[in-house]
Amino acid sequence: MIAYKLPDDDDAIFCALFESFTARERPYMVFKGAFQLSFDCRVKTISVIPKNVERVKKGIIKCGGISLLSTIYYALRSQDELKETIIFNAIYKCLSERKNLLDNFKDPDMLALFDLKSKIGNETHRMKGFIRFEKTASGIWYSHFSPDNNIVDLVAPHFKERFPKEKFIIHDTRRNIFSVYNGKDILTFKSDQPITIYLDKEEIEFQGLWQTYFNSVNIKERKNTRLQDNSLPRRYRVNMSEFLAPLDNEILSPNNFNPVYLNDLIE
Amino acid sequence: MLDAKRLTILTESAKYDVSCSSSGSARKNSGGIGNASYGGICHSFTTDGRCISLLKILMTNKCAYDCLYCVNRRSNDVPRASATPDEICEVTMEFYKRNYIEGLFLSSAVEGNPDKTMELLLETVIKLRKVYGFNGYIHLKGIPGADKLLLDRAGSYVDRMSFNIELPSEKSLKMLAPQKSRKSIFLPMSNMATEYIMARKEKNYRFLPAGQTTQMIIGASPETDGQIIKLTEGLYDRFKLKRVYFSSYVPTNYKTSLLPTTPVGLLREHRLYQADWLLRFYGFKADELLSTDENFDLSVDPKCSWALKNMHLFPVEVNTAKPEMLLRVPGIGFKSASKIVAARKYSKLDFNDLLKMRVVLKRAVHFITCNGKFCGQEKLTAVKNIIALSERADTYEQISMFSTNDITFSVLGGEL
Repeated sequence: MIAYKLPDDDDAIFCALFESFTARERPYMVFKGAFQLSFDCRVKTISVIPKNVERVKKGIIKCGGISLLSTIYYALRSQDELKETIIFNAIYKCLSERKNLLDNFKDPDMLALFDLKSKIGNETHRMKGFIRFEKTASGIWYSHFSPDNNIVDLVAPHFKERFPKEKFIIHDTRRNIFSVYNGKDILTFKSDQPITIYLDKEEIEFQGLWQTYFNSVNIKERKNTRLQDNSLPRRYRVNMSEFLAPLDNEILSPNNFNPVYLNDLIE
Repeated sequence: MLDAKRLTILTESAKYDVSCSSSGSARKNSGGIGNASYGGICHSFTTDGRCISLLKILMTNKCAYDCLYCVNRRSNDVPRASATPDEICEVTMEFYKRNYIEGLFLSSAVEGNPDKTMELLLETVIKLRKVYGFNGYIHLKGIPGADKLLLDRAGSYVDRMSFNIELPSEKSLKMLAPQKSRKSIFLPMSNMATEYIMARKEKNYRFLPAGQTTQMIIGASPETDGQIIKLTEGLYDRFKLKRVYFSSYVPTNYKTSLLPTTPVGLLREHRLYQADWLLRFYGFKADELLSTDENFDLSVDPKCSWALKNMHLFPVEVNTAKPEMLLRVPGIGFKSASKIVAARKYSKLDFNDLLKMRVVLKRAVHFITCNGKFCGQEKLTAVKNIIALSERADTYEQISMFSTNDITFSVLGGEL
């Protein structure tokens, strides 16, 4: 048995496909980082060769159009630790049969890829509702969330359309990826610098009102927390103000102090 | 600025309105703030499992009417409050910017007379759009009996309007809400429908992009499910409604013998909603589901009981059946049907394949064949029992919830 170890690069999956077709072998596992493999397994380390990447991409477009290619990039956003294997298996079959087989749901490989994609799509939709913005002392809107999948740049355009004149930052705290909208364009980047946020003092009032509203719109006689948990999983609630303790004065800035880095981000 | 106390009172009074959706309008951002998402977006979920999508609030809960089933009836002793148009606009804007809500659901008790109330609602809506530059979703409650001009004007500013028909028949309305009449509710509904249909034909005329909805209370009056479903179908056909909501009666009035003192099970409401879905999306007709003197069988869902009555149409061959027939198989919905239709292009499907595709076979197995093979029960009663039993396992939580409710009520009544 053989497994492919990929470098941390989105294009590596194409080189894995190239290797598999040229060496006429089928890896049982394709992975990034560390992985627990079975003991009789040989590991081949794949390196990214741009020429081969282009060749495989062309092949993929030929058999399934540009949509098949973008499916791969879309699915790579998943947090599933088997995502490389799932994508590899599905695309391998498409390439060897020379057609787009993605809707052949009878095939477990295709179904696995379909599930991966639906999870990303569902979470993106949910986050359009679950993201909470807080007004900072400098007037920029700040939001932190920790989605399962890497979707911050999929969510940001929704808010750009909705709030074209506001500046905002959406912070994926799990991956430290920021999507920043400066009133014109959205920029998405990774930054591991620790950040401090100073909130506007209005925030105490409106978060308080929101918590009041959240509690009074509930019908106590009809308690159904199982339904609530299905619709709004508990792991998302750590970032949502209605589930947190009321804000107190400590988080406020001393006299409109603008933290420098926030403006840096927006520039 | 609206304070927490008044916000509580005005929300508590509005929360029994079940309509929550923010869908049906694709309003684009044209300056100002906000847009509408066609599919609607849920922003949070309360412990009763319902979603928060809109800021659902009353302008005032000081009501001139005395409808027996309503918490805000004149004779009820509850705290009263009201808000000004500016207060409503401000809270809406601030909540919206923080992405707490998708828009505003504004309603009001009838203070003074219908025209005065409607004027205040209209003023708020216009202010929100023009002064505050709000471009998000607005659902406005229409006040029956208000002037047609006021209502038409409101229709050009908001995304959706609704007039509640409250009770499923004229007779019940007369008994429980003597100040309202069927005509006063249907007349504005039909006027709005006419305008709505006209607006669809013209290019630059925006009128209720998300249409109209309505709501009725279930279980406060003696109508059968058959009558309710027939009425619902009529509303969709005649008034082009987008949704009909059902709200099972929660006792809020113990002083009258005209109303039941125990809550109506949520299961009945659930069955009606299932039937409503069949009417809207699955191509069923009310007459196929129930005759007007029948109620839904609570032990099996409406689609299943339809199938049991029409066994001559089954079993259906999964590999060749038309999509619309697949949709009529109990347990197969849109997702499963589209997966089946996509996958069977490649090769024939058997029961194992369906399982792998996660098509739920619990009910479907009795109504389908795969390559001519049948794996279900043939006897009608056996099929029904098996399905009813498996449903009971699913709804265990719901049933236990009712029983705790019963206990609460028996405590209140001094029986325990």
